[in-house]
Amino acid sequence: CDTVLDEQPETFFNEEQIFSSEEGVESAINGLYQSFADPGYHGSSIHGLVAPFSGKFYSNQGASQDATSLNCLPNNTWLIRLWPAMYSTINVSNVIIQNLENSTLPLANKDIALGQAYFIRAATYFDLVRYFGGVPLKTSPTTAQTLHTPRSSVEDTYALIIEDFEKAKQLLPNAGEYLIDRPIKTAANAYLAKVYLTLASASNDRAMWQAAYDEAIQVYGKYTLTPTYAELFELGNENTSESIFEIQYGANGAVRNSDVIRIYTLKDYYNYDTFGRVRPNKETYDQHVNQYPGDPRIDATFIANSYTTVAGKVVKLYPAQSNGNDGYTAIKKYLEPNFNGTTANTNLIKIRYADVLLMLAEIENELNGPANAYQYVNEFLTRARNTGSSIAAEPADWSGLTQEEFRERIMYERQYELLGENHEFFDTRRRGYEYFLREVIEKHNNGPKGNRDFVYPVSVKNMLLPIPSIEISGNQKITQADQNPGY
Amino acid sequence: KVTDNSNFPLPGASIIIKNTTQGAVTDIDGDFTLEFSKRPATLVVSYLGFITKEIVIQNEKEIAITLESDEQKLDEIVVIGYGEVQRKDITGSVATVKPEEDRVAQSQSVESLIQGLAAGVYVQQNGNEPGAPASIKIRGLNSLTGNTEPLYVIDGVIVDSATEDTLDPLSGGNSYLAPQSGISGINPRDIESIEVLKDASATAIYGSRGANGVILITTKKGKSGKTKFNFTTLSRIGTVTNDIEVLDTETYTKYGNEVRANQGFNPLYYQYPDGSIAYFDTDEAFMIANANTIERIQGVDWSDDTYRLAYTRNYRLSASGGTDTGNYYIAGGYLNNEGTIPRSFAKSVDFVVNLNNDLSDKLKLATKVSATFVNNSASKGTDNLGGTNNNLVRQIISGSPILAFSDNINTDDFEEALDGPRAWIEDYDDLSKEVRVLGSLKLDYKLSDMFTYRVQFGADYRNKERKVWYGTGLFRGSQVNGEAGISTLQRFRYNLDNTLMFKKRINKNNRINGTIGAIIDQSQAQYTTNQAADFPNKDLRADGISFGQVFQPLFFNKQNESIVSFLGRFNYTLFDRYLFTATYRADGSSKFAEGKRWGHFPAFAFAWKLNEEPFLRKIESLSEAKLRLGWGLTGKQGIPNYRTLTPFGPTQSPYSNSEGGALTAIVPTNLANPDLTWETTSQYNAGFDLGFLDNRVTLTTDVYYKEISDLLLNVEIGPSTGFSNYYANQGDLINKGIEFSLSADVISNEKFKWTVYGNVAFNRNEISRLGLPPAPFGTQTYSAFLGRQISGGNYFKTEANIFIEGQAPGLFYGYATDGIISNDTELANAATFNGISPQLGDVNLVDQNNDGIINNTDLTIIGDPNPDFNYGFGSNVEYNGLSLGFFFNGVQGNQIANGNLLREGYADTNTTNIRKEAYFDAWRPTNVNGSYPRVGYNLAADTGFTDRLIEDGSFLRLSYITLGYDIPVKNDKFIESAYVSLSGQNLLLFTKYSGFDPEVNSFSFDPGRVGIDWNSFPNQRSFSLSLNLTF
Repeated sequence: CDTVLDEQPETFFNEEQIFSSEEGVESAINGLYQSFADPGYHGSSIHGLVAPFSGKFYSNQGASQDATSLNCLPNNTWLIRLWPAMYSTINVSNVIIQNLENSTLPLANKDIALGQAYFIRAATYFDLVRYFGGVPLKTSPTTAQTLHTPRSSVEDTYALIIEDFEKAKQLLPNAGEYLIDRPIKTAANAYLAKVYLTLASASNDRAMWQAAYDEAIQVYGKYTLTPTYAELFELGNENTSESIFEIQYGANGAVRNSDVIRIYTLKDYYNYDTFGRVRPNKETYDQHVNQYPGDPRIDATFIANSYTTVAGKVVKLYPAQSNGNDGYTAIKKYLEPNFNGTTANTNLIKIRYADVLLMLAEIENELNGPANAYQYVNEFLTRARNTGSSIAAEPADWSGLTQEEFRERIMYERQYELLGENHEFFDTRRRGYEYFLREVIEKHNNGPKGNRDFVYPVSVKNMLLPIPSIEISGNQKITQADQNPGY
Repeated sequence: KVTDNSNFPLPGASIIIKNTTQGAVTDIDGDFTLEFSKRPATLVVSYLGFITKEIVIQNEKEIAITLESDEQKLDEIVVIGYGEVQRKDITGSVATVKPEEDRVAQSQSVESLIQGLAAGVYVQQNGNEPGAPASIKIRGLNSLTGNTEPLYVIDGVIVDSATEDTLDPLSGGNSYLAPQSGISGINPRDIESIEVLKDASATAIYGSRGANGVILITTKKGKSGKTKFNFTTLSRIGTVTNDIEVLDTETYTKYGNEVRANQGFNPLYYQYPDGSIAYFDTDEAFMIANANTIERIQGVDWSDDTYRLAYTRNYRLSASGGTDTGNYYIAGGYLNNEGTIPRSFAKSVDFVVNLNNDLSDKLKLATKVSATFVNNSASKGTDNLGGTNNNLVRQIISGSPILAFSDNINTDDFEEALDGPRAWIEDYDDLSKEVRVLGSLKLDYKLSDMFTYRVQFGADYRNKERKVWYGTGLFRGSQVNGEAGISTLQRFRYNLDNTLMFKKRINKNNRINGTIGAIIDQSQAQYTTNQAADFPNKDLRADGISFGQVFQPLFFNKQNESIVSFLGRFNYTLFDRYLFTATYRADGSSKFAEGKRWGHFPAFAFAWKLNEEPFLRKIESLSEAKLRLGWGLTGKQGIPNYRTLTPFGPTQSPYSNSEGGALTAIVPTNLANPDLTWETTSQYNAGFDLGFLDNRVTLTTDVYYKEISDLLLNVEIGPSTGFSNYYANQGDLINKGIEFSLSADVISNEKFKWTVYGNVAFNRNEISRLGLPPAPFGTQTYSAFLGRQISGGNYFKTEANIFIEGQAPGLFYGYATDGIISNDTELANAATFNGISPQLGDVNLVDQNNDGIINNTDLTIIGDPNPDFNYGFGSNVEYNGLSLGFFFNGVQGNQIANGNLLREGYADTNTTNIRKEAYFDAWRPTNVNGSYPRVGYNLAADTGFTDRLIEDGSFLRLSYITLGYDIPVKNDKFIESAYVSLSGQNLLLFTKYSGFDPEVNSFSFDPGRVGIDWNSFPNQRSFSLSLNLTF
């Protein structure tokens, strides 16, 4: 009678069914991307938590006030979604990698699928190591025997990231060989350049800068900037020639796939309800305006001074107002007039070509000084000035800077070019605590204040996020003693 | 010699010479000797369970007296698993509840029928909404994170569904709907008796599902004779009781102004000399100058505005009767139970047919069908966010007491603001409909005097639909332009029992009986959910789900489960006073992997009827004295299906292609644990039953010791695994306790009857092993784990329970406090919290490690949700057809974490209402001894769980009091009896608890969140009138 007792899920698949056909493998890869795109990770948490925690944004969300005021609790409402979503992405990639590496079936999409799995695993670990420091390294699917994994060192984490991106570089297709929205070999190059650049900016090791250059230069010329800056953020203008890796969102299903619209769109801006929750800090806006008055990117990035609600009411914003929730500007990059209230269409650009140019400029300056670095900067500055109708005076081409000045300016430039694209946390931390203290804490605390602004604590703890309480309580190999400093 | 009708001796029968005090008692062989002073004499021969006989003796020297067994004394037969025994032959711990009229009239569910009546059976209402579930715990907490509900068996049909419900119709977005479940499909009026099997020797026959105890329900059958009709009707009116007092509109505006003044801002409101209030504008001069044109605010008392009288109506008609070869019982009824909140109700229509037929001398057929249709509307809405705008009751309490207040209508931050309760009542639906059919066919074939073969087919079909609608008047609905969700559950379960029963009297001193059997039990459940949003036309509400412009593909899930079992029970009776029982069951379950699938569950029991011993037989007043000893193993397999596998299922949303189209995305859904196996409970029980004066006074005591090992835990694991939990056998639990129950017919004669009864049960739980390495928790190091996070929102976003090896489960874990920082000395010693320096009027958090900083290391044990004991007692007095009955039940020594205080008990800066005392007794420079923090203190949400939330949950409740009158209708040819009663429910409640009701457990069936009051529903006090006619 034991056959009576053999019950199998009838409405779900088993592992073998998924990995025995090309279509099955594709659906697993889609599952991997969806885990990466999940609200817990790129859909919402990085906007709700990481953006304000970067020190460049304010959030009026009560539930996450601890993180917004740079006193992030280990049970922060977003944090306890972010970490699990990131690790569920890791586990899904491990399942795919293990199945495909051990598969003897002649699957035509095996290499491409494997390449993508390594790519996503590396990209996720790269985010993890920058948010949290050394993390538990899982390289095979979790089983009941492998529940508890200690934190690895930062070095080991980076070693795995580099190894995975190298594998992805081998396995991923070339341009035009696969779907437009999926990463290709040069996406792995771009990511590797960023990995080395992150390591180099912390250690200032010349070999690292060189490694970063060697990767970045392979991407140079392989993509093109869009003609204007503003069109990058026009709805429907997605997966452009500038896009290197972009997470796809679409109005599919009735479960909220991303909170990017509600989080950034001002209240009553359109005929649907939004929070307008995450807003650039006052000094974030001021810095750009002061640096480049009239930069067309300002208009493409910020809604400032005021806006008109859908009912025709004019609402004052920073700098016209500095108190209250509207004492801030708003990010203009995620507008979706026809948002249905649930499922966003707006893609999230994870890495784009202008970022590679910024990296090349920074690397070249570090390796050889500014002389040959200007060319990269001026490439996207020229595009920035080009609004389509008239040519703006700012941002003017760069010239005549010392290596020191160039270094400082290129970091600022990353903010101007990429604000609201989730690079702020990384760029404010990767040059060390002194830089973070000077450029974020002090600039904020000495900057203009409304009645909602927090005073940021002077603490090294904010270089990293805390390991979430649920990991410490559930993982026997991680204790409070392993928590990040200051938490 | 006294024998029964099959010529077996009856030892212990009493023989009295009529009208004298002379008498004798039969010995082991049924013999007796008696000397007569005069002849003829009349002997009165009586024996328990037999019809008393009078015999006239002339000159006989030896007589043989045969007693006929008393078929009317059905209550002496006790149903145990897969068979029945005479009460006097029971060896295990079995509590029998015979529902009485007064009690049944109060009860709308099986759970409330049992509440307080059986020692060691702890029934807890999980909400006071119509249709809210109750949970039952037998002999303490039997699991840490699994299902703790007992197994229900109705007339041999397994109805193992106490925690079964549809899936949440709306996935995502932090929604949490309170489960609606419990034991449906059976009407209390149709219940003949309920047997609660408590110890392992009684439950082991249910093997893998007996560990939480077993509740056997026997429904009514017809009795031979002409057709009897019974009609009952009940009407009830209920009102909200123990409402929570919040600020009235005027005080609320003062509070708002005080908050603003403390921040150095203009006031929010301005009160004119005539008492009217307006929103403050510009300055006082402006307000005065424009007094005629400025619109005044309109106050509202949300509690008055919302709560209403609740009406309940209940009608039921039954017909029963029978002939020599069969009997029938047919009943049908209607119940309409309205809640105290508009549009909340639970309606049901049901019928039941019980037919018993003797097909031949040897073949008996019992047929049973019952069908119930339930229609529920729950207007409450629950949410595990702290959000007030996701819960009606929360809004009634915390809603700003001003009509058209902007925050009551829409909101800035989804955890912060309120919708008006009116919008909630208008624009929210949580409707469910359920059809449930129970059926059984039971065929008994008498093979010989010794053997009877029984085949029973039992089926339980359930079809439930639950639909939820959020209209645009509600925050959640307005975000998405209307949201609808419909989920369904279709479940068919059947059990096919093949049993062979035998009984044999080997000789006068040795009797055996028993059962062997093979059983198959299978269930197939099918779950669907549909979800849609963005409705251009909202008139159809959830029924118009097809018209949503944003929709989710149908989620379709099937769950199959099988159990195959072999069982045997063997009873041996020696000298009619030593009873031995051995049972054994082997279960194979589809929930476990091959090799781990079979569980073996033996049990042994011994009972000694001391009153049958010669040395005690002389004590006539002692009618029963029985010692029972037992040990046995039972199991548990109450985990979801397929946990030994990793099924690959769809992600919540599909991925999108570059065109925005949907791509099927598949991921592993859970972490497989192929090592999963049975959780086993080893239980020792010792009990003593005493009865005096023909059992007019009975006393039962049981002590037990249970060791539950290899607990099936839904273990929270580090999310670095890719999952947040998995099922594993981990840890051991010890449960020990003592139970007493007493009943006495103090006075019992034709005219006057007075009965008292009561029970009390003490239970101690201890986690004896967790299998976790010790880790720091606060300043201590424990092998422990934390329960589930209470809420996902602003308030109470923390775990509240801790499970520590060596301690009682579910202790409250949070910050200890030491009043309010009321002076500069205390301020100087106060610690900082999360980088925020303390100030006067703040809550004084205890810095356990004295490092000047309040953080995780200062968390400590601050309370215990486990009761010391629970009890119930009652009494009935009957005099000349008039009767008065009452029943009290209570729980002592437990604590409740009243999470609602996080909002109600702090005069923070929110635009929500608070309890009166939180404002009036707030710390102020003028009220330095205030016991509540200063007006404007807003760290309650951040500190999460402090002992300020811990309250004593002990209570004693007058559950009901009933005045009844048996209308004399003897001369009426049509009506046989008429009984009318008036009762009051919940008229008295003695408790220190400040929430709605201390009988609260907001997260029913979730052992990871224990003893929490989170947005509970107010209870009712009600009066009812009922009529019971037999004709």
